[in-house]
Amino acid sequence: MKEFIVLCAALLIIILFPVQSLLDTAYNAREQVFDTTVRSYAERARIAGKFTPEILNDMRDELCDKLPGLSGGDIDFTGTTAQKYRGESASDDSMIDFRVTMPIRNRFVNGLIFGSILPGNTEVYACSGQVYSEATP
Amino acid sequence: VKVFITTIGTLILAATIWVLTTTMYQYNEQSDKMRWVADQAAAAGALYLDEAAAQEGMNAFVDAESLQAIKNVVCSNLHLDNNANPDTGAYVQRHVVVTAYLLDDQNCRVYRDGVLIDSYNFSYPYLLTVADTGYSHAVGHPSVVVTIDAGTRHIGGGFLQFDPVLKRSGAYEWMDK
Repeated sequence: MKEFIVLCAALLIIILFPVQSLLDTAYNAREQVFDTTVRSYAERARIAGKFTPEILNDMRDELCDKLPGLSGGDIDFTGTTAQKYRGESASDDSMIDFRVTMPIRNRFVNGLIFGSILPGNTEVYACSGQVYSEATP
Repeated sequence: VKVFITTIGTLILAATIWVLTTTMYQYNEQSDKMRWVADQAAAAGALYLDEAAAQEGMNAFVDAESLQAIKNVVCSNLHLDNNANPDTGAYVQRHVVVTAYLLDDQNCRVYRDGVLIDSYNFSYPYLLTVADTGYSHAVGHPSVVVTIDAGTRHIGGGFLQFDPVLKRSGAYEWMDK
């Protein structure tokens, strides 16, 4: 009987790992959708020469549509909102930066054990990059 | 005791597999990013056309500017220093070799790390296949093809070691805008 109880307790701990793997798969798929969407809007910013309010609003709307449980307020953007032009020579002045983040809640299957690693068991996932502006004055 | 030892063994195995799986997800993510960076580098490289040549009806890239733009995009996105070696926050573990194919109305010039290694004539339409990655690009207009080679990434250890390759190509075709 004692061994049975120990086995049950051990199984409860071991089962966390395959369940965590399942969660990772789901989050990875979510991150791929996030990356693809953000990068497609970076293409729009490349043509416009900056991340315009319209591009940012459209990006937020599309991300919220594609990713259930995500609201516009969850998405944080830092990057180039001032106009950049394609220059005569290749320099950093023509580069448009972006860093878009979203929270991944319930990151670990057992927040009680691993929750201390991440505050609130929430990871902030970021997609960032730099692209060259194609806009001409 | 038997149950305890078996549990500890299983726990170590499960944790190892979980860590490896997570690392492989990270690798896939970075490999996808590298493909996107190659596309962006090619797009940046295609921005610099010789205006004087264009007025005579010939589309020709300004090689120095195109190569500089390609380098800027690759280094800033992959967190590399000016010599394309890993900097803080870089996922790659060694010097990144960037090969650029500049295909315009003159000919095709191949640069590796900014040094001209080959040039040959071609005519539109032309199918360029990058031997290293197997990447193909149909060239109908002046184009830039970029290959980023970061070697392998060591994942795991011992009999559970994997060394997936981080080598991706991307292209951009210049259309009159």
